[in-house]
Parts: sequence; structure tokens; C-alpha cells
Amino acid sequence: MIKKILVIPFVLFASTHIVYAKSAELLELEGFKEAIKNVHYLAKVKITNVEIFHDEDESEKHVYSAEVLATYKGKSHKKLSYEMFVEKGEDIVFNSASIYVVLCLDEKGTYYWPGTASEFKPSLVIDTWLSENKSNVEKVSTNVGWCE
Amino acid sequence: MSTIRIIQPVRLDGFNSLTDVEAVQTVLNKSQRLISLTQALIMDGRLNPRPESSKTIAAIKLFQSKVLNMVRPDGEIDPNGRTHRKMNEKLTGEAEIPGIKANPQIVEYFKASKFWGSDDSGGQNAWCGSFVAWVMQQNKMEPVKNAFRAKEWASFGKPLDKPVFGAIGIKSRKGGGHVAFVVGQSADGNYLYMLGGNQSNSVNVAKYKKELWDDFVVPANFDPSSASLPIYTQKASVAGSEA
Repeated sequence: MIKKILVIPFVLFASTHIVYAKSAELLELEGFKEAIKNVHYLAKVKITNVEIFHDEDESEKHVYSAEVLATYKGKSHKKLSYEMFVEKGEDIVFNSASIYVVLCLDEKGTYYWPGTASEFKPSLVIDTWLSENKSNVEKVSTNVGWCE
Repeated sequence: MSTIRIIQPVRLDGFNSLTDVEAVQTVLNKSQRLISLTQALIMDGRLNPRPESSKTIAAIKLFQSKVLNMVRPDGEIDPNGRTHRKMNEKLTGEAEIPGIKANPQIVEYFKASKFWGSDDSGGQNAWCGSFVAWVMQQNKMEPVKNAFRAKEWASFGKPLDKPVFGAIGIKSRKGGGHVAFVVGQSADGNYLYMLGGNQSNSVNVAKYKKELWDDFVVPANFDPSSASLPIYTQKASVAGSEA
């Protein structure tokens, strides 16, 4: 009886945690779908390098170089670089793990970071959705609202 | 806007308007761990009239004891008094935790904007929009869709053609942009002082060139006719990192 009493809170905590994790994954999936609609490019990449360039007005340009593992929307490349505009002192975060990135493309053919919620970690939910919708992703109508 | 404003004293025999008491309860709940408050307060804007049963008064005393080191906490808050000022200090200054961990308060900002991120570092996780979403939510206003994206705030409420105190300002440069609250201007009018998140990786007031800000918006029911933009005279950091 005591064992059961001890187990119940544990099970409740574990199930609550699972529900929360599931809802966060679904939220991220919705964000992923939204991002795809609003940009020019989607690929699974592995970041290989980041360079920092100091611009005027106290801002910085971080240029990410990446190996492209798979392209889902936009032109295919083996390698890619894209610019992220931040202000002086912003941290650089990357590791060797593969990620999905959505990017904008400017009139000079340069890829750039559209803003928060443009990078996604591979997960069962996103991977499954993407494999089921791969052919549609390329065709998805877009207003590239995040690139204006 | 990330500071609380109380009009009248909050104390057992005071007027205790719902808005004032609820604002105080908000700060106390936010300081829950800091003051070792075992249970979050119900944010109902009310004080229990019996001193021995008023959890809000007890929490104010905890705040005064643990944060202000008052020997005899009185459980009273006067507008712009010592306790009020210290509470407002506690509402600013939240900073990122380097690496893959995140400041729990910044995670709260993420939740307010419905952003799924768990790391507060880097341009990828820029949280200025999430901070604005949290502030608006604390003030019972619905954030815009995709509020974690700074530029989305340009569609909030109604636009203004010039900045006023408390307005939301949006920088629309290439990429993600930036969003923060206008709190003042320089004496020559060439700079704006902006209260925002992810400015030098924390919540602070930073000085920016006025020309960098493209849009200013306010809640739809805001009357701008009586609004102004004071000269900012307090300490501020120079515009630092944000994305």
C-alpha cells in the first residue's frame, strides 16, 4: 500500500512531464510550418564555422558557414553561408549537431537569417512531418513575409 | 512598463485598489523563490482584511525582510517608497545564462510569446519580442501572433508617427529586427532610451540613435493626445547586443 502511495506521485509527475514535452514539440512543429511559409529556403544543415564582421552603428554581422545535408525548399547547394545581423556582443551558439534552418534570400543572392524561430532541432515530430510532406514543402505557397 | 505603478499605499488599512494590489501580487509571485514564498499568491487584487490571514501582507513582509533586510517589516508599500522602488529594481536586470541552460525568467518570457526555445543565448534565441509579450501579458494585453519575432510587433494596436513614453518601438533592419519600450529621449532629441530584453543579453534601458527605430505602436485604446516623451536622466547602457 505504501509503495503504491509512493508510486502515484511519481507517475503523475512523469505523465505531466511527458504531456508538457509533447505540447512543446507540437508548438515547435506549428512554428516550423509557419516559418516554411514565410521564407525562401529550408534545409537541414550542419554548421561548420561562424565569422564575425563589425558593421557601422554598433552592429555586427555573423556569417554562418554550413554543410547542407538536405534541401527541402529553394535551390540545392552542397555548402551554404548565411548572414545573421545582431548587435555587438551577441553570443555565437552552434555545435556539430544537424539542424533545420529557414532563410531568406536577398536580391544579391545572399542568404540571411529571418529572425527568432528560424532554427529547429530535428525531432521525431518534425522529421516525421517533413518526410510525409517533403514533396509539398517545395510547392508551398509563400508570401515570404519574414523576408520583407 | 516592466515596472509596476501603484497609485495609493498598499497596506491593511489602506484603500488598496484592485490594480495596485494585483501589481504587487505580480511582483511577489515573480520573487517567489527569492523570498522563499512557499505558495504563489492568488492574483485577485485583494487583501484579506484579517492581518493574520493576509497572505499578500505576509509576502510583502517576506520581501521586506529578505530583500530589503528590514528588521521590522511592516507589510506596507507606499507609492515610490523604499519597498516599491526595490520591487521595480527586481523587475529589471534579468540576464541570459551562457551555454545551453536558460534563465527561468527568460523561459517565462518565451512562454508568453509561445516560443518553444529552451536556450536563451545567441541570435537564434533572441528574446526581445518574448520580453515584450510577457510585459503585455502582465498588463492583461494579448501579444501579437508570433510575438517572439520582433518585427511582428509592428502590427500591434495602432501606430504612432513619433515615439511617446511607454510606446513599443520596432527596429526593422534586415533580419530579425529588435523591439523595446520607449522610456525617454536625450536632451538633444537624437537618441531614444529603450527598455527591452536581450539588450546586452539582459533586460535594461539602453541608449539608441533615434533614426534606427522605424515604427512605434501603442494599444488600440491608448489616447496619444496627452502622451509625452520625457528627457531621460537616469543610468543607461549603450545599445548592446540584440537580434
